[in-house]
Amino acid sequence: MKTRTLLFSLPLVFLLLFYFYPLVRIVLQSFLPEGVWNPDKLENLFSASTYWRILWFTTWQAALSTVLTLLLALPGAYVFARYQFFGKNVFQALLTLPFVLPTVVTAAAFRALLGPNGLMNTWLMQGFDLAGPPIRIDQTLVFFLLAHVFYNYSLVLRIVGSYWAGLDPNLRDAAKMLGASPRQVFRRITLPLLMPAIGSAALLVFIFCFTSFGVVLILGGPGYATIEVEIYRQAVQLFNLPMAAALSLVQIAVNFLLMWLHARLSRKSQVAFIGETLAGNVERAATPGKKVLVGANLLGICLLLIAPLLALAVSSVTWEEGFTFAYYQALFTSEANSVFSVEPIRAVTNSIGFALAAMVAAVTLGLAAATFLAACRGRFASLWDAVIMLPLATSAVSLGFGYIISLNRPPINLRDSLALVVIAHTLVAFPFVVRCILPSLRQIPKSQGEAAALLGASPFQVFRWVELPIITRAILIGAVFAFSISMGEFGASAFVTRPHTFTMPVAIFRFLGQPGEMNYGQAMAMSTLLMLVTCSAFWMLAQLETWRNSPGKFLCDNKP
Amino acid sequence: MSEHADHILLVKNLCNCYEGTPLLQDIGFALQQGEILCLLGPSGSGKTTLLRLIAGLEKEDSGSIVFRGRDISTIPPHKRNFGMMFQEYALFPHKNVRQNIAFGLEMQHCRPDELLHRVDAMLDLVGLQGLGHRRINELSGGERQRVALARSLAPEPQLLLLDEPLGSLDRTLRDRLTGEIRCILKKLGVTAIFVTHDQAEAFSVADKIAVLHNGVLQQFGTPESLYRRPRNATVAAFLGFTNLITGSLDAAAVYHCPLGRLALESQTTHPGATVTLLIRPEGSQMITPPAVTEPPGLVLSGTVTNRLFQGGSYRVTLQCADNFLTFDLPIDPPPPEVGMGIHLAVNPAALILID
Amino acid sequence: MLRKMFLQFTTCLCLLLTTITVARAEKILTLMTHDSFNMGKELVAAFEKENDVKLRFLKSGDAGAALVQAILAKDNPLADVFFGVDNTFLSRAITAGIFIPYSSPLLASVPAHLQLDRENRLLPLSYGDVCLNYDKEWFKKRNVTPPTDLADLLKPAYKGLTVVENPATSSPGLAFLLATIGRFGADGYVDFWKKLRANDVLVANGWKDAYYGHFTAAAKGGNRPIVVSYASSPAAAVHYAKTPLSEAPTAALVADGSAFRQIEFIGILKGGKEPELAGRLIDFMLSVPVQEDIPLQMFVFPSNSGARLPEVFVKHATVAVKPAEVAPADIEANRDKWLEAWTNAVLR
Repeated sequence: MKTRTLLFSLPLVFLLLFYFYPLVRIVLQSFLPEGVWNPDKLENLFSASTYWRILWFTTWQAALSTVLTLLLALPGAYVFARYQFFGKNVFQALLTLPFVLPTVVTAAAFRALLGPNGLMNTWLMQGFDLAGPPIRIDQTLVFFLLAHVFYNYSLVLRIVGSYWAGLDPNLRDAAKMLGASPRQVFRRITLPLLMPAIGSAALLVFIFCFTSFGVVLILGGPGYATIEVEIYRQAVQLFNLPMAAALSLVQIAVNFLLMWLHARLSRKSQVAFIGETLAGNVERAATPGKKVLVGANLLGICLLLIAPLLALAVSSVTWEEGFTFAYYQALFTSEANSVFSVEPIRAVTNSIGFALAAMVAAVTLGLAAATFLAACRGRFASLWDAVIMLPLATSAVSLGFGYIISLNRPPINLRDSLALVVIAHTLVAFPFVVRCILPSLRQIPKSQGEAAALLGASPFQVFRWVELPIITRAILIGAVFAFSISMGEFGASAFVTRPHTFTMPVAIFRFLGQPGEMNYGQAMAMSTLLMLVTCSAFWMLAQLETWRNSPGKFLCDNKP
Repeated sequence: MSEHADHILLVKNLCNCYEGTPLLQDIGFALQQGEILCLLGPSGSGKTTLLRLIAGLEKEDSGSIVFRGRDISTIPPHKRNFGMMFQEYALFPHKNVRQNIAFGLEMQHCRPDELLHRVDAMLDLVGLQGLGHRRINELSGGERQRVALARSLAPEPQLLLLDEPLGSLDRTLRDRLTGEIRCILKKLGVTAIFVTHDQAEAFSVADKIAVLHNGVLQQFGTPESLYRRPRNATVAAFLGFTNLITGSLDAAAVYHCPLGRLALESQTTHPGATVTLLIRPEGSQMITPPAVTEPPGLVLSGTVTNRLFQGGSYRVTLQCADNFLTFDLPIDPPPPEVGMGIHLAVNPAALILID
Repeated sequence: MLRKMFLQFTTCLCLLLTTITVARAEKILTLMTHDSFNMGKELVAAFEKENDVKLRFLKSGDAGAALVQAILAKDNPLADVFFGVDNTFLSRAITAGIFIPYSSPLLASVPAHLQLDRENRLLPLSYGDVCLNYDKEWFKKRNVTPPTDLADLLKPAYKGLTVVENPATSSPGLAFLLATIGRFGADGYVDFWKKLRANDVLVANGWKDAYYGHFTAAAKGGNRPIVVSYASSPAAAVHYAKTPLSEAPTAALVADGSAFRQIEFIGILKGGKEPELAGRLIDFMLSVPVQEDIPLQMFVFPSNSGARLPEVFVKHATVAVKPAEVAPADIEANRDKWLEAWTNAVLR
């Protein structure tokens, strides 16, 4: 236990240094500009109805997004948990993509598909000879709710699906034998047992939607503002730092509460954040009814999740005259005569470099934190867990500004170094790693460690030879997630001062920053490349798992 | 139908495959009201699959299962009103003891007062009075087993299926619970099918035993008939018999084997075939010194290689030619020490020729 | 495995840290700026060679975020020179007191109307006019006359054709709001926006979103042929066209009082380590070679009147003769109020 506490100091020091310290400094500086409390700029916070309205809007849009995501993703979770079908691995890899795509790209993808002159409207107008576009959801609630579903679908699918797949099939059979119809089995047995997983997934989706920035800003239009958007507006546009700090604190407080709830829930019921593979008692859809069920869900996934991605890929290889590789070719030629003139394709290698560094850091910290949390019992365990999750729910603007005033003196004068990019990515990625590893660690029966200890293994040896091999898969999954998150991360690093380095999201952002078709086309091409890199990371993971799982399959009397 | 009028369950030509591998082949048997059937076989023999087919949790590839004169293959499991006790009990972790037991009754839309009464009766029956509000994870293994039994019995199933219900318990508890289960089932007159791989358990609970091996029904009958006359070497081995000798039968129905020649009364085998001789361990007697005149049965002479006192008897292994044979001998007179010679007159009823 | 990973992590971190400290060993001049800054490679090399210094660029988010960070770091500045304060933020930057005066000799060739800070703490480097752009093709196809004045947007013929940026979240959006304030006055602009709203104006949160999301000439799914952008945007559309164009697909509307001039300033940060070199950098940035490089790098106009414009600018970019004017001090004093009034008029 002592070693584990010592290990925990690693992520704790990291958090203290790169999260709490900058945050406390910026909040203090905002509230006490010259060392005196100056509430002038804050008086609006509780008096103006604007802020209550923003808080209320932030809450209900998050709640609505959560409900919608659950409604759409739960049938999917069932299908992935219970059935084996062609291309399941590919589907799973594709499904994870939205989670790591930068917002600008998502917005572009949705527009390309559902915008007033997007693919869908064009087809419908041509097909039915309509005068105007029949789908009008631009700048509406529907549009960004759809995008929230797009982002979080895979989260629910993974959390609930893996939990579902892990439910003892005997429980269902037992209920059937006691006279429960399939519907009753679901309502009385499966659903109550799934509740922890559903609750856990719902909380996370809620947190992500609550802190939503880019999606609401771009797709929702200016009529809608979340707290995060308002923090940015107050800090950057109005230079009202006290207000921004106050709003940040509100956001952190709400999210800390939710994180804590989530930690308690997942501790009690061992819900895996990013589940083990959705294997287990799967069957092939044999009857027509089951085939329709699987088919309908896959169709829904295609329409909702894959069609926007496809629209993006399509627009990266088409122009008016038809098919083209011009955008991709342009990515390989250096931009003429610019001080930042590297071939845009260098952005890919840069991004991969950052992502690998962030991945190694996130896995190291995540492993240390998870090892501690798994052994941690008592009342504070969930609190520690929530503390680690906090960076996920913190305003990037506040933190970025915090770095400027806190990491400015030796020995940690990092505020304008490239390390800060890696640190920002690690901060966002390592809570995910913890969520991947922790449930696997908790599932290891205590007796295994005890057995090893009685056989003469030191605590380190127990970890090295018993626990580590068992959680290798979880670590791999966590690593791939950390890698992908870093690949697509833009929000946090946008508000960090850093020497100019071309990464993929930065490149996309730059291309979209200037008019001209080549810019738009290259942005689409770069987005497609970003998807491909991420997708191949997940595909490699799936291959690795199939390869690891292949030996040792045999038939036995108790067939599934 | 009339010939099966007294059969409650009739299984005919049942076959089942899993991804091309046959798990069950041409299974057929019949069961009468109130009987307890044991499906006995090593793991992988197909006994659990057979049980799940009867429950309706799996679908048969061919053959039929007829219950009370009706083919039930199209009836989904929840409408069969069969009870089932699972290997690891499959108790619902989110419900307490009472809620678990009440579940099946709720599914039958049982009246609340009736339900209360039945659950109490079930708790009484299995001796768990006062534990109704315990959570499942607060129960010991034996208690869980009783809850599982009570839960499956509460809706008064027409047929109770038990899938190695005692598999995870310790020996003493198992012996006691086996007796209790039989007692409870008999008291309620429930027809039941009990899966086990333990022949002692099968003998102590069953009215009928079906021995399965590699998906084939090897023998079906009462425990006694199985013990007295195992049909083949597989069944014999599974019942724990070790004295199996290979030999052949000549035209005069004289059996030739390494132990000598043996005239056996009209046992049904074709002459010339290779035949296995089973010598059951009980009923043989020591003779000293060997009689000059040959006694009517088989006499074995050999050296004692093992001698184990077992309370009511001695278990003695002797080497006779190249065979090691084991016998249960009375404690008086005590058999000779290890390494000494011994002469045994084998009980003629203990000699059985099998396929 | 754990040990190996830890090793990798520390080496990574060490490498990063050492590259920074190694870089510190030679003389370094740092230019802090926003994400859209760009500059010619050879020019940078020339400056570095001439002054025996390494030029380092720090990027810090959008223009607003970069300025806030520069202000927050005022006790221990991040850089020597800061570029990217525009006239909407000028007052804030001056009030914060983070710049020191530097009267570059090259200011002589910069038109007086661009020099907004009399003390020369901030020197104009470039400017661009924020104005309406329209899709020529769209109007031609439908035989509709394109708008020629800001007030035209209220006509029924242009109902539902315009997309503007939210001034609360976008800098061209704010510039366009200021154009309407300069044109219709602090009393009349709200009325204009109310009518514009009635004429079905679409508000996007940012320029990217408006231009690539809604503008018919650029967006796959766009349905708005009029957008708020820059007067140089048509030139950019030609420059970045996939096939050479003889005519710009879009046109800018720069009629008198219909555009707002965004001027971008450069200044020396107080407390920097190399104030003398910083002055030389500013001179360099204002010199003709750099000024001639600026248009194609950032698609804005150079402030030095001696700089020749590239061909694509000469042909396709326009400059407002009489842009609408609002004083920086007024902007800083009224920004909150104006934004609030705008939000109430257009969004609620």
